[in-house]
Amino acid sequence: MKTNTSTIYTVLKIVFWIILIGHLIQTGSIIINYFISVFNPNVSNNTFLGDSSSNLNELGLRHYTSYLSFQIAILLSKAYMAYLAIKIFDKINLSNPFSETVANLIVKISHSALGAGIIAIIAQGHTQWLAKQGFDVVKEWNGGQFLFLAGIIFIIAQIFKRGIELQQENELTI
Amino acid sequence: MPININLDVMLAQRKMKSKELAEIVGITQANLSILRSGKAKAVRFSTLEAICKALDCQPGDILKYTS
Repeated sequence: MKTNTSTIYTVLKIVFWIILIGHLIQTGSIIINYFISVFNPNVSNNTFLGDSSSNLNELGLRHYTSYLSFQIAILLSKAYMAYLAIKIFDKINLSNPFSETVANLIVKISHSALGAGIIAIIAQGHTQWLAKQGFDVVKEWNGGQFLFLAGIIFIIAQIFKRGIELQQENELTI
Repeated sequence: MPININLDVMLAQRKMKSKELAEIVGITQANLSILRSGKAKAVRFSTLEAICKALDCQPGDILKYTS
């Protein structure tokens, strides 16, 4: 059982590293593509994301920048959550799992998810407005899912904090 | 903490060292120190029983309530 758990931990850690690196690469490519497309709009015909934001460039630099900024912000939030998850795997001690450090990391993940959810909802509103202007931009930002994730993780963080209190009490029980 | 554990008095009366008491009771010296300093949150009945047996005393001899 312990071997299974440690194997699962190792696999999950690798998966989170892949997610972190993947999101950072994706963010970097969007930023580079943005700066190139500002000077050469034809470049944005086929972005890394697979959707064409070239028509957004017609709308104006402001909305084009906003659209890509939302994507970058959400990708960075997701990368940060993956980074925090990796830190949890590094800091957690299974013999005494309930520690302030790990609890704070879990709370940070919930805050990050909340931030990503709020950004996604704003971005959804912006995308819907762009669609009404006649631009062919269809993107589901999944703001509700981020908020749901934030809520669940927040509840887990509260239970974890209670676990810390119980563990400390247990340590001071002679 | 309203409940104090007066092990020092009993240890002096029985002419026993804390290291000796810890070994007899089966707890570490660090834990015994936590008990003596009043930092303990709780004491198990089994531990209290072992202490009373080692010091040949009643729980009331070592547990004192102060408001």
